[in-house]
Amino acid sequence: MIGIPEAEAGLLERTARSLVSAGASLTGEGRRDLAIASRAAARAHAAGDSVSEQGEPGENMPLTGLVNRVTVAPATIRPEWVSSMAQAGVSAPIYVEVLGLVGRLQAVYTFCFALGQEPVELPEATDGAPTGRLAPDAALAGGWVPTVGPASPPSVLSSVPDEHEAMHDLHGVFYLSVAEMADLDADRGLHRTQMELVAARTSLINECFF
Amino acid sequence: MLRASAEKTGRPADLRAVVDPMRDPLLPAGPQLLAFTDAAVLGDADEMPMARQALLDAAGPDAVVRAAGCAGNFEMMNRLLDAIGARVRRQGMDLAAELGLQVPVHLHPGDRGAVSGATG
Repeated sequence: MIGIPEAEAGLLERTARSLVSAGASLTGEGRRDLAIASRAAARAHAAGDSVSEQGEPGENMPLTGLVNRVTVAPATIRPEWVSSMAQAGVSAPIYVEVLGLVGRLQAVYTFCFALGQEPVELPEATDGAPTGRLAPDAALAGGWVPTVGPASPPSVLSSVPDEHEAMHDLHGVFYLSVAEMADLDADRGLHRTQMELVAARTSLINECFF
Repeated sequence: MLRASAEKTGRPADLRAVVDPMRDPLLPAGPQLLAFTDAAVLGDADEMPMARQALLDAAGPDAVVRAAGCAGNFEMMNRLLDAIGARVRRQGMDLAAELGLQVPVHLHPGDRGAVSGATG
């Protein structure tokens, strides 16, 4: 087994804690429930079982539908479906918050699995009301949800600052920070060309064109 | 970014290896990186230990950690970008065509699928 360096270990701890703490629109308990739903969807998908894109029956049905789709079939998302989420009561801030949560969860699980480490354990949810912290200057700018500035990889979660900051934290530790991305000769255990080979192959498998 | 990095640093790289793993990407530990990425992203518990060991033997533990981090990071970024409908840039379209990939219409630079009610 390969040990996890200090920076990555710290990130895993911060990520696990934030996934069960109140976000802008969701409580810690609500976020923890959705994280558990995401892992269940990922396990079912890996086992070849079907995963409901409508979500699990109950009051959280639209949200679990969103979680399931983003977890197992993100490349199939279309604007009509995003509209249907809004009509089902999933506001843009909630949509973006759930994207951030599922994205980071998938990142840390893939990381641990690849290194042969036990999956990240989700601690108990923390109490506290949603923070309501949203970017006041976010607006539709080329994407299906508001962003601060044009919709692009760095701004993808920018309408929900807590998720935006957590995404950049993970991006910087696991790969490169936005500032470091300008360095095409970067070397962090792998040379930049090797990192980009991994990135490109991951995107191909996920049918993502970025 | 693979092409940009290879050209900038004068390192040979065959981008076609991204879509055809039978090709040698011409990068150090390239075949091992591809096998490691496939096992990690596909969640292949049978292949993962062998792929990890092969990369470890070829490039060392720091490389394995970074490869795991890169795969994890792009597992996140792919989901986020697919789910917000960010458009593929022109050079991305050109590269996709070069590699024989078809970008879905809703991600083309000029196309904007209409989303109603998602601004609240």
